[in-house]
Amino acid sequence: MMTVMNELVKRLKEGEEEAFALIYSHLETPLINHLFKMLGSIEKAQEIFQETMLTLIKKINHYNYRGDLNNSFKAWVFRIGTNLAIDEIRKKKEVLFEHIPDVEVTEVNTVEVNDTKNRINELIMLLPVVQRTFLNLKVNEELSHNEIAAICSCNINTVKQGLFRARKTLKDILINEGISI
Amino acid sequence: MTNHPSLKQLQDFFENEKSNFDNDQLKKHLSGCDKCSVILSEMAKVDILFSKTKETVEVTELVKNETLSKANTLLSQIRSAKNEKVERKEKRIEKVTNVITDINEIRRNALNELKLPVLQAAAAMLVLGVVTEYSRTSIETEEYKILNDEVTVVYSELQGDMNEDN
Repeated sequence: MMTVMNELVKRLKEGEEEAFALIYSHLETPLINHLFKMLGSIEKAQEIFQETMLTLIKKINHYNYRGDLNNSFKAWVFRIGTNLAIDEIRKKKEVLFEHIPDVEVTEVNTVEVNDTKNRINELIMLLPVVQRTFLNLKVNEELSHNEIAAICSCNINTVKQGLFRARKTLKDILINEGISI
Repeated sequence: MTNHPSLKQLQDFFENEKSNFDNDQLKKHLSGCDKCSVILSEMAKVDILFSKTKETVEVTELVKNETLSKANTLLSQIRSAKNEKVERKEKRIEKVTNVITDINEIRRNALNELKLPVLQAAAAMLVLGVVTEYSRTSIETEEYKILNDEVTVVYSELQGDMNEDN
């Protein structure tokens, strides 16, 4: 996969539209869902998604695969997206990766939804953004602690601590909502 | 194993990350420890629930088309820039080739006619001056190297001639 992706990156650097279309189709779903998990808004996620894909092209000459996982193309693109999403969140003055707050779970007010998936999504949005970002990158994107740390520009211990707290907080939220785990 | 593993060690084990805790020892501990097994089981259940939201959102057709359209404009600019760069390089190579031709011309016609060592040296310095000035303006390292090599050859030949004359 890495070789195929490297070949596509090489072609993209030459300005090949087909290469971009293939990279786009590979990253579309994971990236939009990652951004949605961070931003909690479909509209904002779509906006930042587009910005990420265009920034990818503008900065493609800065990307050089060095052979380590921290520098995988996917992690590189996710980092661009994450930074753009952080900028967006910072406009709301929300504190991000500098420290990980513990969340006291009280009564949860969620919109009543029938679909379990949507309901869980609503509950996930109650997690602090940093925790749901870590959890998404770990569980859904199956990235290593190293890769997550590289994407979020933080150290591995912050990632481990964040993941631990995310699971604990989510467990409390789910139990509080009457969802058995 | 008498002591419980730390939560960090359990998490590392759960996530298959490198841990300083011996996995076989930990597995053995888990087989006899309900408390630790429950912690791991809860981690797994939370992750399973979380993973149900993996593909919640899709990029809308409108955003997709707009992104691809804007991307194609950018890519077209990249291709144009690349073509311009190639053209510039070709022009520079042509210039360098012309300078080399001129140097050879000087070597064949003018320098060989000069008998006085002082004049030969002056002519060589003139050639060097032209090349140095030319390299200062726009040519790339690789092209300069070709020129420099050429000048070195001319200069060596001149020195050889001068020595013979002396």
